[in-house]
Amino acid sequence: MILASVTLPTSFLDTCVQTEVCRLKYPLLPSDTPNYLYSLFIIVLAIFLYGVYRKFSIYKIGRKEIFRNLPKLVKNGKRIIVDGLGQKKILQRRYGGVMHSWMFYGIIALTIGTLLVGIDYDILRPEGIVLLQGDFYLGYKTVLDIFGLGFAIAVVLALARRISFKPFFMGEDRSDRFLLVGMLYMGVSGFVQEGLRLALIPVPWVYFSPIGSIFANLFSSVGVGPSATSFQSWVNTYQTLWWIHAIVAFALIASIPYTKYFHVPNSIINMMLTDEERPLGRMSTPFNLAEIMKQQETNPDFVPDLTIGIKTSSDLKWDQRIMLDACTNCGRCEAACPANAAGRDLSPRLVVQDLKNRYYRDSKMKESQENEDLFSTGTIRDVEMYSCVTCAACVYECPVEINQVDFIEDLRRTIVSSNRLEPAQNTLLSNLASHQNPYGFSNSNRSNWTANVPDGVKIASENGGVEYLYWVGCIASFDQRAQNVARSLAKIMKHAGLSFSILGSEELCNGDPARRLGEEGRFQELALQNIEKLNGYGVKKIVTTCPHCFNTIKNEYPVFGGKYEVVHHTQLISELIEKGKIKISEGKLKDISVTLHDACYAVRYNSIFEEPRKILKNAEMDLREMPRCKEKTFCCGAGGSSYWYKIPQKKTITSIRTEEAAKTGAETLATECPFCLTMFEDSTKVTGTKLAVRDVAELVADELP
Amino acid sequence: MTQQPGTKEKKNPLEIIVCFKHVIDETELRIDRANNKINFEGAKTKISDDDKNAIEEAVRIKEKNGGIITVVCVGPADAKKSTKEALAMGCDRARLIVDPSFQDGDALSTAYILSQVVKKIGKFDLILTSTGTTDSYTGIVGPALAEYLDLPQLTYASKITISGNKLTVDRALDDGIETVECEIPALVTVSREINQPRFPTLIQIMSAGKKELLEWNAQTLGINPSVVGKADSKVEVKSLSVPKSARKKVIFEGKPEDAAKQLAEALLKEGAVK
Repeated sequence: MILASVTLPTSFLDTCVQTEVCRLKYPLLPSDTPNYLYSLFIIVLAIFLYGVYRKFSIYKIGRKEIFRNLPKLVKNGKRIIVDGLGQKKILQRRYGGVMHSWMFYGIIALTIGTLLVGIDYDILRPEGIVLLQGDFYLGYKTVLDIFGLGFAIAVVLALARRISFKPFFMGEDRSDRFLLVGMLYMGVSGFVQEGLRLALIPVPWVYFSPIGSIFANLFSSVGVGPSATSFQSWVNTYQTLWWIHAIVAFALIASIPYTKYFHVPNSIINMMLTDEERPLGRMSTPFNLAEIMKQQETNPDFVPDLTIGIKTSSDLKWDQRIMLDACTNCGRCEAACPANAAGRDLSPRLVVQDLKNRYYRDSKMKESQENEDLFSTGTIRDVEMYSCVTCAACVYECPVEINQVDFIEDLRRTIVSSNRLEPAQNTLLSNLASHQNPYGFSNSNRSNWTANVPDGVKIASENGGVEYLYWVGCIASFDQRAQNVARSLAKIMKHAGLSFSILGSEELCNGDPARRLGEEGRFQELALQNIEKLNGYGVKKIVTTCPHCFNTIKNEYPVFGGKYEVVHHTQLISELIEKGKIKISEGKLKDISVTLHDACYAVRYNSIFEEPRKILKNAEMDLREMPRCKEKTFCCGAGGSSYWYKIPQKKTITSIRTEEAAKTGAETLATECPFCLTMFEDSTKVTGTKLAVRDVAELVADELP
Repeated sequence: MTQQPGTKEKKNPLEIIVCFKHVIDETELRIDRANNKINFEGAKTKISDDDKNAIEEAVRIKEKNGGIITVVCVGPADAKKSTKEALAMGCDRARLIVDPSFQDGDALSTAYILSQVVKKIGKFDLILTSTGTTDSYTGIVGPALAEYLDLPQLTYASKITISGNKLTVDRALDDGIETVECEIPALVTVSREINQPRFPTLIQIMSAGKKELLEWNAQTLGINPSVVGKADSKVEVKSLSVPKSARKKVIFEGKPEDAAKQLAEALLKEGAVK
């Protein structure tokens, strides 16, 4: 008789508790409680389901889309488990990461705990089976108490942050604090009720509820107990608390499709819809120029009827709507955004929030009403879109896997087709149209850099049967400083005995500046011409010194029929060192301090970060990492065609990064992108920073005889 | 179309004609110094830079006042590419004037041909041209066309305003801005600073094919070939020479602040900056 010492009205006791370790069924509650509870739950469920239905109709998602995409749940299962259940991206930030994951796992544990109780009480016990008993029940109690405590602390941390030290980047929805207070109530009242229950029905296993027992002792110390005269009034208190707890829980459940809580299904859908076939570095392809040209060839009067980009909220497709609605306003994107840090008129968080709020507002309009232009209503601004350097820092940070850059690039397409570009941007496009390079120089000068390469460099049109095609890129072809990167790679490849050629005057801009600016047609025109040339020469392997060329040829060209093995020069050099084809250890570089700026298009779009480090370490350099390195890299300020125009800002992205590099105390700033190289070199000159800016290839080439 | 009785009389849309020249892209020209000749081989072509300002201004006037723009080009057959670009910029219809007898004509010949084109088009309120083209920059075609058509001509326009029948133009002159007025129809030559021309997208240029583009020749215009082109050219090219411009090679030394000050002073003295 476990409860022998206790005298309780028998109506409160289950038979099992009197003989063994077991959870009481609806302790201290009248026997008709489940009837009220489940009736209320049906109402909650109805409100919840109506909310989900409303969401799905605002998303314009049909049954067809749901069923067609369900298999992706399995296909992207690993991603959902690692990023979602594993809280991978959430944990990229410490405070928010720890806070959120304790809330997340706490809710999961407490929900499972509550479900087990329900199953035990109302499904199994009528069948004569008791689930929550014995050692399992004792473990259950302890685990839930720990998760409950973690949950409550996490909610306190969240509230404290919102109230007293809210970071600049964090947005706030009206319901945020309300929801947190609701959750805090759930956490605290859970322990209070457990304590009260344990005080009223003392059990020997009380210490298996470490937190609950603290509250039980508190209650006992003020005279709450089974034999106290106030017993019945405490039971009434318990019952009132129990119902408030249940109603708050139900209110929170019902609120899911009406509040930020819906980020949970939305982010899962986001992860589920990820197109594994489409690399991050590949923009969406709204039309195929080759097909349009073919049609115009057979029918000269054929006119492509195309509207691309996002002009009004009706251009947002269902999956984009879900993606936008997954945003919790957490602002991690804003915190990581180099454009935002430079004081440019851009916050990726606000782009997402503004688009989302606009389509919500527009969904209230009548079907016959046309949605207003996102730009003329000021929802989105041209300067905001062109403040973006497409560095994808936001994409890397986003815990719910929103691709902010995708939206920005699509919105840019609308600006371009509305012909609203600034003069410098028009000049860029005009140069690309007339000269096929952003500078407006004659392509006949492309090989000028080879003039002082000993024995010159082979030109593809005159030399077949070479292993590599070195894609020089416009900046290394035309910019005097960047030309040295090309010369350095040529020297390295020659030293390693690799056969290679360049396209020379036949090389055109890869099209990246046009595409990222939003001029899809011009990009495809350039891409098609380049692919025709490369395929004509039977090119198999391409090496680039520019991560933008690298990304375009590797990730964008396959869509248009250009499939090659593309390597970035840091990858090639690292491989040559490994194979012993070049030797740079025990040279001049030894012990020289260096810091490496990872180029956005190499590291974030293409996960290249080991190779350049291997090279620097092989040269026995003293590598001093910046706080923001590898995938967390900042930006030089040139990406997404930003190199070619100016945008209003408080300070330059380049100077912020130069300062960060200088703070490491390194003598050398190593780069792996000619744009980064020229940006930083200019910046060090302007700011008078003592940093030698050198491309990894230049460092290596100087070590070779 | 007859007006419905009782309805308010509708204002006729503004009819704008804008002329441009299809030229060799001067940035791609290579000069054969040995033979003192320009190498035109494989040279790229474009709409003359300042003509784009004229087209842009026509489109802006249309966007503000409403209207219909006819773009006209006298040139070779491959000027069709440029004509499509002008349509993509926002012109509504195009007249491309191609005839072998028109080739190698001087500026007056071009102006005469354009005057016949304008007469054939018929109705117009405003003709826009640039001040000069990037190739020969004679600056004659606009004014001569106005004379052939007996129109008021307002040159070097840096701002154009149309209100009813009144045309107001700011003229950007060396020593200031002169504001002049006249009644339309009139001819205006625009200066480069009047606007920043838009750049149509490739797809917009490809889609310009759906707009009306008519090719006219000497016959359609009823022009006697002997009074135009090379046959009537009053200009004869005797020789070509490359302008020689030597760098001054001045180096300002000292602290950056002092050097910058000296540079600014020198530039002011030279009149390079005002």
